[in-house]
Amino acid sequence: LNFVFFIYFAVNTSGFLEGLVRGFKNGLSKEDYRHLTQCDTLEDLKLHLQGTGYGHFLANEPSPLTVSVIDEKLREKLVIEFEYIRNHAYKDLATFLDFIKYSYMIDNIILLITGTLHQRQLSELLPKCHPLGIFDQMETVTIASTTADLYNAILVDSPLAPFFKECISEEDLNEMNIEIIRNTLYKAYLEAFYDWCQQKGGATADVMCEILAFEADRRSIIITINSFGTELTKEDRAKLYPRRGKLYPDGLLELSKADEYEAVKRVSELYAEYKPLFDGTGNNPGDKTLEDKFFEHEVTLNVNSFMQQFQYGVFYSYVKLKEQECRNIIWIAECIAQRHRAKIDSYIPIM
Amino acid sequence: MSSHDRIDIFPSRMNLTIMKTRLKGAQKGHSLLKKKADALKIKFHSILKKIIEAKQLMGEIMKEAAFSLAEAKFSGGDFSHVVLQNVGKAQMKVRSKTENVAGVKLPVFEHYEDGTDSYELTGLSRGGEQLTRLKKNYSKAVKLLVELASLQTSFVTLDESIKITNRRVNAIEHVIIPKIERTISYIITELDEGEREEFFRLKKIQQKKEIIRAAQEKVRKQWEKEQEAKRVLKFIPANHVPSILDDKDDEDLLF
Repeated sequence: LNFVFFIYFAVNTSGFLEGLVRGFKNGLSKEDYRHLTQCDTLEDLKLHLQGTGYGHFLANEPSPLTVSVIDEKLREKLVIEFEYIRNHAYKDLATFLDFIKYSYMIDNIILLITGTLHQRQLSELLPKCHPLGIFDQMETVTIASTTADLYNAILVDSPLAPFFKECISEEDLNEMNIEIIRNTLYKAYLEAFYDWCQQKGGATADVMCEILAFEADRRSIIITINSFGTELTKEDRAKLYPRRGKLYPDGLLELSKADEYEAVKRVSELYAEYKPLFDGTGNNPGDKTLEDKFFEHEVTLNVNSFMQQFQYGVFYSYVKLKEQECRNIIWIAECIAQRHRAKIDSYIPIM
Repeated sequence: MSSHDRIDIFPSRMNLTIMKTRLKGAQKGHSLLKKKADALKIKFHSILKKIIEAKQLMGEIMKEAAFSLAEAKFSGGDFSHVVLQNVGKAQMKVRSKTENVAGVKLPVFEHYEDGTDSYELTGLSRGGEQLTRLKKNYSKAVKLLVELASLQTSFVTLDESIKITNRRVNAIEHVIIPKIERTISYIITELDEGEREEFFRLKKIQQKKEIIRAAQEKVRKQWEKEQEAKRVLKFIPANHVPSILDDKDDEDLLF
């Protein structure tokens, strides 16, 4: 049966793209990272990157090199590779890749909403949007001048309409804090993505549902911790928890009642996978923070997804791992540029 | 002595007293201004020390803040655009007050928070902890900046006023007081000269009087002598044989 599936998969050209993605994924090794941390200037960094898979992507930049330029170019490379894959995909894979793009679209829409509410021009906002999250109807969103127009424009034109319809009404756009809107949208997106993967079945469901479940739980935990001491009420907070993780439903109920970090820790430690993440974290220098541990766990899950073949999870993991690699490079670049080498090794290693 | 080195004034005794009073006033003013200049200088040095400390601290805090920005971007992604778009009123504002130091009004800035943190929920789903640290670091940096600005403006104002005060002190010491002193010495010289002239005049008149008196005395003596001689002549007896040796007028012999 596996053989049949293999033929089916490969014949649908997803096989070609999967192979491509595995090729793209070969990023920086441990050696490369060590070389990078030993660089003294950004020019050295550029030289070292030329020797890796990144090649001469910084070749045409005028000196002096700044960290923001490196950031831009790294992102550009990822976008080009992703768009190539997307343009060659169709049917299910295309839908899957679109799902990946939705998370960036959510960020862009939030930016556009904020900008429009404060009467900024479209020309100012467009360059600030994340390139992976650009969709064709973005301009109509900014032409809207009142929130009613804005709401209708989004409902009619953008692919995010279903997420809006579920949970946000027109008054909410005006009154709700923009961050709450963002998190509500993301919750709807995550739940929709999870359901689609589960319905797809097979290895895709195995891999993706585990990754997305962790993402959901991670968001719930982080939102809870970050909401202590702010004006976010417990009921509002509970509305932001995505209901697809291992913590659903009991853990989420406990989390929504939590008042402090210790309570959150107690609830999460009831689940075997999350207990080790809370150990050894702290706020002292030299300790890893909880977010760092979450990043590491996410990286492990994504790397594991490459162990399985013929499933769409590899594309998702490729995007996420590439992003993490970009973040690592930028982190090392910032430490070098600011001459603050104490924490230069605090990047997340990708095996 | 050319006249612009002293004040043009008529050299009389009353003017002398007036000038002496002026001199006393100038000296008192000089010592008061010197005290003011010293007080300002002390404050100046203390502000200078504070500025140096603040600038060093600033370097460290800015470094810390920039690094915490990098940390927040690492965990939380690029939140800068949303924050920028959401900017409404200022949360931290600056008030200016004046402080009085030895009569000089120095401007002082102090910061105050206006309104609540409108970015409480930024980074809710990732990077929240780093973001709070970032906010704290940068607000420390802004507070230090306000203090530094305040110190520097007072420094500049104080510098101006010290220069002015020193200029005045020097002017009094090297121009006004010597001028008054020269005026006083001129009046005194003039007065002395006048006295000497008087004295000389008196002496001359006395001399002249003496001569006149001596001449008059001589005339009187002469007259007295004549009188004496006339009286003597009355007492000459009849049998006085006139001799040819008497010198009197002989009557003329007429034939």
